[in-house]
Amino acid sequence: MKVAISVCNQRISPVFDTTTKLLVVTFKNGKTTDRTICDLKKIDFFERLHRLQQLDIRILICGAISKPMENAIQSKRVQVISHVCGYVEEVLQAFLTGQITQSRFLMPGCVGKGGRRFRRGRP
Amino acid sequence: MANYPSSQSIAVILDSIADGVFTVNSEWRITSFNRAAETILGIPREEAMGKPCCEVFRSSICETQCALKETINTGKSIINKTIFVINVKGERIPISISTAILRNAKGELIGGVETFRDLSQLEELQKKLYEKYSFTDIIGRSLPMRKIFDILPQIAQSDATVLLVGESGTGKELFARAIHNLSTRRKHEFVAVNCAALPDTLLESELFGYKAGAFTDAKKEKPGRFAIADRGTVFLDEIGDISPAMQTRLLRVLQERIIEPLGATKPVPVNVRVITATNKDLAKYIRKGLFREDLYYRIHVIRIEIPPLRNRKEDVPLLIRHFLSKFNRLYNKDITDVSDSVMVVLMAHDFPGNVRELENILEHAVVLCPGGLVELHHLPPDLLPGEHPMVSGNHRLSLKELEKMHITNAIQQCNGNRTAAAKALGIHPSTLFRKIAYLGLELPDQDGRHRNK
Repeated sequence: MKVAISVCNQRISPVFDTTTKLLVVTFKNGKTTDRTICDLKKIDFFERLHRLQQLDIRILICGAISKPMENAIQSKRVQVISHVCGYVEEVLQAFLTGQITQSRFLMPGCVGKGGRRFRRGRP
Repeated sequence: MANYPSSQSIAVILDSIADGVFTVNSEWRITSFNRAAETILGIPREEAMGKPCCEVFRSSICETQCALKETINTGKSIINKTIFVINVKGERIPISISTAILRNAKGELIGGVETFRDLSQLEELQKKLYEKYSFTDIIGRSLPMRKIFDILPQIAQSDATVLLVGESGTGKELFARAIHNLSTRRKHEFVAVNCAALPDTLLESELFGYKAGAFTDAKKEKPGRFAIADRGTVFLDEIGDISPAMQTRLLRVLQERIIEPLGATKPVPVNVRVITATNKDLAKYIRKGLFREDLYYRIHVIRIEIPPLRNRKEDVPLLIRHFLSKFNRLYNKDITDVSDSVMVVLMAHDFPGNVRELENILEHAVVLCPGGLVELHHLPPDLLPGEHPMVSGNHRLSLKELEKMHITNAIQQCNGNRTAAAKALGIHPSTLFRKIAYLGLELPDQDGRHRNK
């Protein structure tokens, strides 16, 4: 299973719509088997969508994301775990151990507002 | 010695400003956050304080071109730069920002301040005025809409002629504009012409233009819409309503890509993409001899059928929210949602006027509603011809009742076919069967899979 994480300076990028870098992590039996960086510089809405499909991403972990973008990604059967913040490695670890729902990984203002829409993420 | 105001009075001053204001320290963490910032971003102050500014502000430039960083590095303030932020609801809010350096009494750098103004209302007015709509203005998550969204970018990238077919009010022009804005022609003109609105002779001069002296009173040369749209897109709405003579002229343009302005001695080449639209059944028109078959095949390179709203009811709540937020900005209101009763009425309505009708209903409601929830009495009276058993009086529907009604409607609309109903509702058939059992719904005798003999 492939999980994409929008990254910026070792942290989760604040806005997926304009993020320039995607870390693609491949998991097998709960273990990381591959990590690659995908460049998203200067690509528009549709190309961004197309790139996720090309990479065969199943789950996207990102910061803030606009509704049209989120809807479009979900319609491609990609699960979106949005409004996540923190250091990438910590977030990845939390995702692997099913602790990504902890409030420390939630962006400010998203607690209890239904801002996060996802199921528990254990690969 | 100058008297500095206390931090308490500074907070009071900041809260009285209509623009959003926040300050950061040297570690880019929020040190103050005023009330307007809370409103625009939807984040309470106590949650914003002490957090990295990019995780609170969530702007389009946070990652690559942070304005505050630039100001602190260069010492130059940035004034009225237009960007967008994403609020907690996932809405893109256009804002203009200004930045400045913060120094203490000794003149030492202690951080930065950023002020921002919500431009949503302005953008909405601009959209209305210049009709600058994009793909993201087309609202829909239903299966038929998703299928269109999937092919729209490829269609836009090609130069093929497109025929948009759909009932009145489905947003054909919005699709045409989205195709233009996604294409390589987006930097050039998009020219829309309603073919049914003009008599033949006028339509000819409108489309192809005329030379000075072509007819009495033609004192100056006038470029036609095709010439204006050179290297751009021409959108011919209501193409089914043009006369046979006009169809012949249009055929020539599409075949040879040349136009002949009235009174011109030489044809003029044009480089335009043509998008046409109709709510008529052109195949039927061809059989009746009202529409040229050769023109039909010229315009029918790519056909997009825009579904009527009654066939994609699952998009109604999404559209309601979209229009409420649009009219909230236009009328400066604070309407949060529609009541359950209103939702029931709107879900049960067939929308012969499609999305345009829903938009008009909601504009009516927003004008009459002072704030909070849109209630039944804010809707146009013709929408409530009699007492609706489910919404009359002060009875508030429970979620279960709403679900029951919505599922029953969907099954009825699909002639009892449960699989089709599940598809229309956007849920898995087994989920639908579970809900039918849980809600105790009575199913029609006909299951919709076989035709009645």
